[in-house]
Amino acid sequence: MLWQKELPAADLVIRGARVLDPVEGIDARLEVRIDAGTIAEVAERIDANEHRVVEADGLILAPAFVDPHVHLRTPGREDEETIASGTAAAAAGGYCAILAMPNTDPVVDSAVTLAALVETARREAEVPVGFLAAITRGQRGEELTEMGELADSGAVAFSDDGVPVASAGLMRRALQYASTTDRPLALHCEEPTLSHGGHVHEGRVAAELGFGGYPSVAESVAVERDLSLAGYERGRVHVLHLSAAESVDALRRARVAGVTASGEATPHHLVLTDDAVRSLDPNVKMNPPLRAEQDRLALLEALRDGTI
Amino acid sequence: MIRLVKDDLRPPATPPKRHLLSVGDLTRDDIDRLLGTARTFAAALERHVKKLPTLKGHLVVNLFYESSTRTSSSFELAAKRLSADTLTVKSVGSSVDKGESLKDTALTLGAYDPDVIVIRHPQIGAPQLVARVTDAHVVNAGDGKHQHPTQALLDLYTLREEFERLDGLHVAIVGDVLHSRVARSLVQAFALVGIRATLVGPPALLPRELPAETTVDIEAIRDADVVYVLRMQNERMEPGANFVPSLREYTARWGITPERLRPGQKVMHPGPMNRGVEIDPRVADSSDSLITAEVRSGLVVRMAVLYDLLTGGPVGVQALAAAEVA
Ligand SMILES: [Zn+2]
Repeated sequence: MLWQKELPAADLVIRGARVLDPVEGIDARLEVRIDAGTIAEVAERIDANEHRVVEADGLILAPAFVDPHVHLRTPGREDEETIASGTAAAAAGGYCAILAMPNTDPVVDSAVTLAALVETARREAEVPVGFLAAITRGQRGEELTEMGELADSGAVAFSDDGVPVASAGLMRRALQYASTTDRPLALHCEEPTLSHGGHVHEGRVAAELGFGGYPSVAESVAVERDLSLAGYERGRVHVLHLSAAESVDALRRARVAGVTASGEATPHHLVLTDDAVRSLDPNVKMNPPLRAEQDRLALLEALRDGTI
Repeated sequence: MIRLVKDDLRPPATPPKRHLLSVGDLTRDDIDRLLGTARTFAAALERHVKKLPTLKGHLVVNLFYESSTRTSSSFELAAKRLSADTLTVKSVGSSVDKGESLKDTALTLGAYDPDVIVIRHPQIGAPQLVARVTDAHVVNAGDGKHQHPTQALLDLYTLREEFERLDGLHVAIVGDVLHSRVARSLVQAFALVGIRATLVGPPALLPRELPAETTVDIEAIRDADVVYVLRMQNERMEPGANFVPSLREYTARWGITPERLRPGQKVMHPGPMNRGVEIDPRVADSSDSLITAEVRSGLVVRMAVLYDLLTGGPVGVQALAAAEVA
């Protein structure tokens, strides 16, 4: 379920744009007519009639993006982001729908907290927004949330994103129980005793600069574990922000073996490597970290072949 | 498009001021020049000229966020020997302690118009931040596990005084390389001047993929001209860290004892030493130990660095050398 504020349905004709739609195989200078917010016609020449005309010479017109991994920081850190600001940014960036992660303060682990978010989204959201709820209460990795009630209240999936579910036993229970809600688990895969709170890939750059390394294997052992459990319990999982070639291999193998699993990668992991950390710009330190060139190429390959 | 993003992440174009932030900023020529200047200062100090008027009227601020008696006093004395004014700010008991951000502290101190800010900070990249927000020349006196360039320079100076050359020397660096900014700086500096480095230590304390020869075999030190012993930091050896099973076991397998050294093999240590842990007291106090020479080198090398930054390098050095001769 997605929510947004009431917006007047637009009647538009967009002219002059290069229309790109890889799914439909379109790449041409075309005009597009929108009736009451819905695409009604794509053609070489369209009469405007009463529609507002948008001149889009030199611009690309393409199907909007969907971002299933957004942090709206609401509630608790409205100084960083709000539903209004985050969805406005999404609209400006060409996204028609986003999903917000539940690692807020308080964590979205109860129907009451979720209901308040839905209420705010109905007033403020510029694009449709959906909400994930936590797998464990307070994301403490100890007790499951009431996934049934949360799903009924509109949670689209469950995730402890920001922190991994450290216990394999609890992960198994989460997979078992989530299957009764028909919602997937979105997994932040990280073995904390191997990542040690690091933000830089363990490799030559970390060695030279002195950063505590966060090795690829800290991610891939967690990916392997969770995919094994998902296969065993026939659960549905989505692996968040993949960064390492080994993790991508694990996901590809699991999918071939019939596990119901999907995965994602961030744009920055697709275009940057740990080489960027040499700038000492703190913005390029992140979890999971930017990795080596071979990892970046593996992510691109996985994007091409549909693993991601 | 992707290129643009990458370029945006780079620090702004060449900074207008010269700084000493990393050994990576230095060329072979810079090193030769700095060591030459240091030697000139050493000669002057030997002639009982305790104070040179060279930097009169300049202000050197020492900003120390980690306790360090030896480095901060070495910089302070270096500045005083050159007649500069000094201001030392330590994190304990200053507004630094009250949660003021590094940027705000740097801006506040910058308002005094210092010519040089010497900074030690536990965060990697802190000196780069100070260099961006103030107009002073910045000297990195140690940032996290990243860099300690004046330590590398003073060690090169010590080696050159001892061996009268740098090219072709072989130095074994032994111990906790992983957590050591000294080791990182030395590896870079040694590569610049043609010294062969071999890193020796327990596997968990040798960083993966550091571009250098590494081995866990303590016997490897035998081939080296110099054994450079790193400090075993007790705080790294907390229970549960398991880098090594115990300090006792570390000492037994990697501690530098007279038995493990060839006669005449030189030994260095950046200090402060844990006698009886990484280095046997008999080694530390032997005539083959260069450890007190390193401390003396520290003073003249830091004088050279301050002088070099404030007088614009090569030209200034030549002028000074001429003055000394006359
Ligand atoms: Zn995450």
